[in-house]
Amino acid sequence: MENKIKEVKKEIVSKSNLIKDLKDIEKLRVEYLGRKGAVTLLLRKLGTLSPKERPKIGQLLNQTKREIEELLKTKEVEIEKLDKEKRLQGEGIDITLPGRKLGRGTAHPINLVLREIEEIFLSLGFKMEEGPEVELDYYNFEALNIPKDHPARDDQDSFYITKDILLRPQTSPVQIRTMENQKPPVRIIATGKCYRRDATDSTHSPMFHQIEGLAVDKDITFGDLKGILTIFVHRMFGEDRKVRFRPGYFPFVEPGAEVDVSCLLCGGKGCKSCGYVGWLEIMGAGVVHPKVLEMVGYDPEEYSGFAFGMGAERIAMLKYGINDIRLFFENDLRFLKQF
Amino acid sequence: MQVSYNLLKEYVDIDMSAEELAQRLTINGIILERMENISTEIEKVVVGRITAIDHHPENKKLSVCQVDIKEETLQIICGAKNMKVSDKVAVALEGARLPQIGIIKSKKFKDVLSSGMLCSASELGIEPGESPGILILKEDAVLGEDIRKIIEFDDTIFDFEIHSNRPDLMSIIGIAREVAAITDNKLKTPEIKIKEKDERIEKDITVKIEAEDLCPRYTGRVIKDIKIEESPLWLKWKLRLLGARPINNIVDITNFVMMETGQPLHAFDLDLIKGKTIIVRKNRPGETICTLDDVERQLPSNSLVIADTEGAIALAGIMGGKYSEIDQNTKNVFLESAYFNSVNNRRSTAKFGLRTEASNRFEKGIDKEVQIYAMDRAADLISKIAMGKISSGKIDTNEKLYQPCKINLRIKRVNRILGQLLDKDESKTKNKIINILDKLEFKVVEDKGEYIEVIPPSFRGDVEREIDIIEEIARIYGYDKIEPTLFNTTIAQEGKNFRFRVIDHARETLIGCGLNEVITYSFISPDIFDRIRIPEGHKLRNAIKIKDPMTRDYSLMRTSLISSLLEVIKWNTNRQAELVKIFEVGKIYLPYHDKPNSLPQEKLIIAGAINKTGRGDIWEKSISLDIFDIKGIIETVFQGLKVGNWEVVPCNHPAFHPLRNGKIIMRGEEVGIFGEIHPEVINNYRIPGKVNLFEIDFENLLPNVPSDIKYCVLPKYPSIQRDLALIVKEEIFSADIIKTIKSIDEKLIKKITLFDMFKGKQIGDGYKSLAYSVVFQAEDRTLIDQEVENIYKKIREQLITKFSAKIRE
Repeated sequence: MENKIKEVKKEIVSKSNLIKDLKDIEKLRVEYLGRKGAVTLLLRKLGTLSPKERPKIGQLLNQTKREIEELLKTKEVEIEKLDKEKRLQGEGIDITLPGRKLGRGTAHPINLVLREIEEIFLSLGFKMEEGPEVELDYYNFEALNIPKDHPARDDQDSFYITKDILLRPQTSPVQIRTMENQKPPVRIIATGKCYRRDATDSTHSPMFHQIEGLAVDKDITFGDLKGILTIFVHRMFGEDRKVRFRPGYFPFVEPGAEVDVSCLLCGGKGCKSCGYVGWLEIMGAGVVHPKVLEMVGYDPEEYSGFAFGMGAERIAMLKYGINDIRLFFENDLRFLKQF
Repeated sequence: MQVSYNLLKEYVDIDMSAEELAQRLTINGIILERMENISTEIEKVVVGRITAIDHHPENKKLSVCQVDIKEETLQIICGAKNMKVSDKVAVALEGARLPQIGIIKSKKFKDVLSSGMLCSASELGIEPGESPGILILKEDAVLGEDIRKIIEFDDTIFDFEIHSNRPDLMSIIGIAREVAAITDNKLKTPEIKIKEKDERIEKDITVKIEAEDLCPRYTGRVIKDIKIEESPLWLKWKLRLLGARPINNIVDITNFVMMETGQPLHAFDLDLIKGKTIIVRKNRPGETICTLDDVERQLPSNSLVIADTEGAIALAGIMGGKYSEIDQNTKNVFLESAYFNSVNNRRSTAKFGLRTEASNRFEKGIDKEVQIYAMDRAADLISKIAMGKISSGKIDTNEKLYQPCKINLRIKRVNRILGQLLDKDESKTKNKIINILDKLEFKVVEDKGEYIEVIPPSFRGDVEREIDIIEEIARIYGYDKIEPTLFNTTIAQEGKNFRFRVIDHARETLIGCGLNEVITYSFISPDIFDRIRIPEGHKLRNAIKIKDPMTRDYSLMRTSLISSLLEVIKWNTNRQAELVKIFEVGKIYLPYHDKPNSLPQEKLIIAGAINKTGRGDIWEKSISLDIFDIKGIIETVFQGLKVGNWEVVPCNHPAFHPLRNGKIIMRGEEVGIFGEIHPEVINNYRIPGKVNLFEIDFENLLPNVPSDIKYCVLPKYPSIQRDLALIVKEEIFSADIIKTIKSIDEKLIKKITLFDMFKGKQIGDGYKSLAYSVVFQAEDRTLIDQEVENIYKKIREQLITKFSAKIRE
């Protein structure tokens, strides 16, 4: 009996080496441990042994059974592992295929610049305002200290709708509308479309965008204007930019200023893009003219303020290195997708 | 205003280079537009004297001149006729360099050698265009001397941009005065010595002013026995530097003095003034005048003219008349130096469409006191250059035109506006202020302690009140010296209001949906209405008209963004774009019918469009963009804004496919349209493929956007899902079926999703099969099957009765 057991064991070990898949394991399990399996049959024969032999053989037989079970289990795990690996091997894909994307669009570069400028002034405590594009002559000129027949009207040749209504050539009328509607302190920026009778070329467009700013309070000074706009230039163009204020003329501010920033390309040394002067003009500004304050019913003895305005196209052209304003309104996707 | 470095130096000492000067002036508010160096243009041109002139043996048109240049005598062939023996001339030697011609070489003309060239004024760059003959130099020119010693050719020309409030800078003296103020040097104005003859002016001319409001001052002089000829070289050269063209000595002098002093002058041929009378008056009805530019002009009403007893002889302050023009036959002149009303001048130039150097100055307002100075300066030059005899006496209709005004300047106010004491010590500040004002020729008449009384000079008509003086102080003190400061921050107001935030949100969503933002012109052409099939009389055709448009394409303000987006698609498909997905956030402009003189209604519109023609990449090729893609984009925007409760109803917008467009309705109001663009429109734009497009009226959408979010408790009990498939007639809307299902039990039916739809032979022509999944859920208990089955049964019954639906089991 003992020999028979050893034989069975030897036999299954050698058969187990031939196992190929889970079916083979199952077959062996039935062959040896099944109801009619070799081990089961041997177990049944235990009763025929002498009581002296029985415990020893019984123990041996049980141990052999466990060993076979373990052996088959180990084989099963091995095969399963191999199977899994095999299956994964068959699941190869080309990971260089394009992603299935929803695709993100782009903001227009002018709006990108407007938002950036708005954010800077919002963080400095300014509030956003807006006003009509089709505007009364009064708000656009007269209330801004540009009466009829004033030579400054030439600088802004406008599109008129009627004698008293025109397409605004500047965002400045928003200043007046805001001040008419509220008491100081005022601190606003307004952005939007403006129109001038300019024939289209690489630097002119009959429609363009402006950013307007206004701050009115007790004791606001020209120094404050320089302070705020210096912060703006540094945030917009970088801390290392130099800012220059020089006299300029706009009838609704006095003293009036033109604001220059050191050339973005050459840093001030002088190059083609700045006309070899090292400076780029970026905006007009100044202390609000007392006549403008009087027109909206503010007392210029009590209140003072500053205003500024700049062209979004110019800023965007400088910032992104764009050399033709027409690109903004052609809306060529190859252009738009770069932003 | 064009002026040169050397010219300025005649009026003020300048101790810096031309570049430095331009830089300084720019910082002080006179912006340099252009700077041109005109050095080293001319080399090897010397003074010579003609000793003999012979005809060329073969070509009679040419002269063979012997020219003494001190060291030797050169033989030079010349085509001009205006020289004679012993004339001094400018000789370009072998190897000479001339601005327009280049290098001069000796060459033979039909066997006769010519070693050099006799130069004309234009060849030397003194005159523009082509001079009629060679340049004859003055007798005192030194033989053999370099021409550059006679004319200072080395110079720098500046072209300054002058702001419209500073007409005083439209003159050499004006700019020199500014230079003097900035550099702390003294202004040197030319001295005038008038030698009057015995003959009285009244003998030859009488001046009558009939329109005193338009001509508050008129001054004049008579100069007789003048000799009309070319201007001397120095004057021609000065005009060249100032950018003016020489004509004859009299006209050149009046032009030069205008540019020197800022006072426009006009010279009339005295003998052609009928009735020896100048009348300054408004035009008469039907009156015409032929101006110097040979144009016969109708005079619009309120034109100010200079007339004689017979009719208008000049457009006052704009241009002289042809009839009384100075020409070769002129013997005696009447010189006019007047002050004309700036507003009227401006209106007239606009009416005539004629802007001249003179009108450009009058319309901005000239110095009220310079008339006599400028006139005498010109008279002095005429007597010297044209040998004229100045009659004694002068016309001056109003010596007291200039009324000085006193302005109080508070020292504290200067600091309150500029934000910084010029000096910590207030009395030192005051001294600095007085010093600056003094340099600018502002008179400080009295020091009253806290304020000073200031009288601005007559040429500064722009200075009217205290703030104007403060600006002058800041300008000369230097903006760069004012310290940047930050004002006290009061509490920030609401930076971006709800409206701006919703716009931003919608834009971000659209970008997230893969759309590229565009910005198009607000102008449209009237032709677009036909192109997008808008019928006559349709409200979209009622657009704001631009009074005087640049082109037909930009003559109306848009009433829709449809054509704008189609144009962009066309632009891109023309450039091989295979997938165009765009949006714009922009305004439309709608007139009010009842109030024609009020501002139009400006409505913000969010519009988007998609067009696909190419196959795209591996994943995209099976996707064709259609109306449900555009609708999906709108739904995504609404979802982002938490806008619910909207429905879609069929619409009949003419620009769209008649059966493929819909209106979006919120609380009974139209908020937008979407659909497939009509094939005819697509054809009109020559766009390949289909375009699906939407327009959302932002103004109507905004009130439907909730300003905050309210949290709903999550369900505690499980839900039950049932599928429902049915066959209905094709024209039945899915939304109506969903509405009907929902109405069976608003509380327990939580969600209805259409998950399948098909048409085909097996269900019959004109029918479609729809499959919905319906989710049931209660907030307070677990639903039991029987409950759901009861509702489900009602749903089926309702669908059968309402839509004659066939329920598929």
